Amino acid sequence: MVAAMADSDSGGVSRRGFLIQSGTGSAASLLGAASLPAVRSSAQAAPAPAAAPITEIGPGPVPVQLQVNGKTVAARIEPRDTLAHVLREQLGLSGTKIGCDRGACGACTVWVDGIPTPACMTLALDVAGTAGKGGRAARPVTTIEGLSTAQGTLHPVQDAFVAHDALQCGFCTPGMVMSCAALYERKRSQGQLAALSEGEVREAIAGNLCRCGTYPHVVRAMLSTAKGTGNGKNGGSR
Amino acid sequence: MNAFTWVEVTTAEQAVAQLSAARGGSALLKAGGIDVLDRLKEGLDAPERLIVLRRPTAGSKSTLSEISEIPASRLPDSITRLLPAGNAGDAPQPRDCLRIGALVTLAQIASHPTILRALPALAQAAHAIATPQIRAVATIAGNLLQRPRCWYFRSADFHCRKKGGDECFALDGENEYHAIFDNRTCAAVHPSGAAVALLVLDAIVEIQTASGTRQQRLSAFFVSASQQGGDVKRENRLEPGEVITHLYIPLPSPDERSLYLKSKQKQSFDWPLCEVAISVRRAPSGAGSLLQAARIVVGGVAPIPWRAKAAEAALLRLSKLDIESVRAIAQAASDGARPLAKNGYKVPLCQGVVAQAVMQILSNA
Ligand SMILES: Cc1cc2nc3c(=O)[nH]c(=O)nc-3n(C[C@H](O)[C@H](O)[C@H](O)COP(=O)(O)OP(=O)(O)OC[C@H]3O[C@@H](n4cnc5c(N)ncnc54)[C@H](O)[C@@H]3O)c2cc1C
Ligand code: SF4
Ligand code: FES
Ligand code: FES
Repeated sequence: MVAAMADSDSGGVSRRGFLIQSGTGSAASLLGAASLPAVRSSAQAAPAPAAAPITEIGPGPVPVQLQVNGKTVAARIEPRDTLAHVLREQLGLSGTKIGCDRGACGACTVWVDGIPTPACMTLALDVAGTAGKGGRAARPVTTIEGLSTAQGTLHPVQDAFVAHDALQCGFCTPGMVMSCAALYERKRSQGQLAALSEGEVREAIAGNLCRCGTYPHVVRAMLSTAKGTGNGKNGGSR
Repeated sequence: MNAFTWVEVTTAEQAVAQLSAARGGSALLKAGGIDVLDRLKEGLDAPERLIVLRRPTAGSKSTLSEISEIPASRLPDSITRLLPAGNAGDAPQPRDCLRIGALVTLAQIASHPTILRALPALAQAAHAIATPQIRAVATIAGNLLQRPRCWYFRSADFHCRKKGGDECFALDGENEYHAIFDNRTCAAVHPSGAAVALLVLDAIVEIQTASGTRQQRLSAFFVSASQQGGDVKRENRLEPGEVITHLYIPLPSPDERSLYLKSKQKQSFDWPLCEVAISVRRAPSGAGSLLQAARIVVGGVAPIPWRAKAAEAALLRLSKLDIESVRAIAQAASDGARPLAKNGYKVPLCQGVVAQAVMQILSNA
């Protein structure tokens, strides 16, 4: 496999050239972007049959697809771009905040595959779909913008935050809501929403720092929406 | 962050080949990427190639991202020979083991039924690390291999010993979070909470090398600058280009117990000031002492997870649980401590967490 890589690196083997071409071809048809080679692959040599091919990307920008809030969108990213950066700067989804940029505050929390994830410590390529052989599908990302419906109906957790004054300056709020809504959805899918405990809420928001100290209101908002009381219009059934 | 080429691999063999193929050593392996991103953002590492070890996408399976129980009968000899002997002097007995792949996340570990039931110290340690968001991404091997959190080390402005310089800025500087043991060359504490638990559970680490695999006890894996074979620039015996593939943990017998405790400054998530894992094996009744085996490892106090051997010995002598004996064990836990100017509080803290762990485990044992 090392030999295969070295061969293709020296440019002598046409397989790599072929893969680059096919990579660009499919990238172009998918994204309408016919520029840089997207993905270079070299097949894994025997004897490890199960291994996927090695994929090389960058260091310059490459066209990729991201699956954000249910839509597939095209982006051009460098391997070093974080998901938080791409969401905010390229896709205009500035609801996701960057506080510490080191995984320590939770302001950048988004869902990847439905799980709260620090977007500042995730490289966009970790979730991007790449074209070509050795390419892969994008992983679904949900941001605060994707939590409410296109018609503007808020998620029950968002309603409850409003009803219970669970925010002050609002900087931590998108991340806080993403952590809370993930818990809400998990409990709901287990049919356990009404059994939601204070401990579970505190646990879920342990990675979300709030300088304004809204924690007690966040907990109250969550507990009351889970029990279907005291929240806004969509209480508990959405 | 410097620009780099992203090289995506799904097997340890591929990762090793890519790491060794990189000329000039400017390749860095990424698993969950939590520590790697921190280092890239600070400019502490600037690799030309980031070797990204990923779980294969849907369809194909990989033991690298799985937790599985391996019955004694199917355990490879290379692992069996490293298991602890039942009694001193005996040959190691094959035991059922839990195998944890290098890419398994801390969240997976903290919620795995077998780990919760049989290896509580590990479940508790994994659960106490960082935040839910980080645990969803961070891997077990990455946790063991993350670099220290000394603030001088983490700042590109300080070319300290650990980076090949000739000075330790912490020794006469801001050292309130630094080591109280073995701290004269480099006082950075070992950062891994999972390591503390895995050490009292007799874990074995399996490593992919360029020529095959090798196995070693985790107790021989971490090494400080002052120990034989130690190098201040590294924290363990993983050679450049090698990749951890699995951990094997012997499943305890019914008379064994373990637990983990963490003392921290903040109520919600925080790095430990001091953390401890303990495992004990009850003695048969009428044996005179309460326990026939005990292991205590303290974190946050030394450049490696710190085995509190004097406290273990005192614990093994214990014939009944009373406040005097617990105090003696706690005193023994800080044997050899030499605090720096600003971390003297870690001496009583270390004694306190050990005392708490001992009382807690003996009241449930
Ligand atoms: C806010 C915050 C709080 C934290 N609190 C704690 C805490 O309380 N306790 C604690 O223990 N940790 C804590 N951490 C650290 C965190 O747990 C680690 O950074 C994380 O576990 C690293 O795992 P990873 O998979 O992301 O590793 P990566 O960042 O991908 O890798 C870390 C290192 O290991 C190497 N590596 C990874 N996998 C392998 C492998 N299979 N073989 C060989 N080399 C490998 C990489 O090259 C790199 O050098 C905290 C982190 C943050 C951001
Ligand atoms: S404690 Fe270690 S890492 Fe920190 S400044 Fe000293 S030598 Fe560097
Ligand atoms: S900005 Fe990502 S955790 Fe703080
Ligand atoms: S509302 Fe201001 S930081 Fe939380």
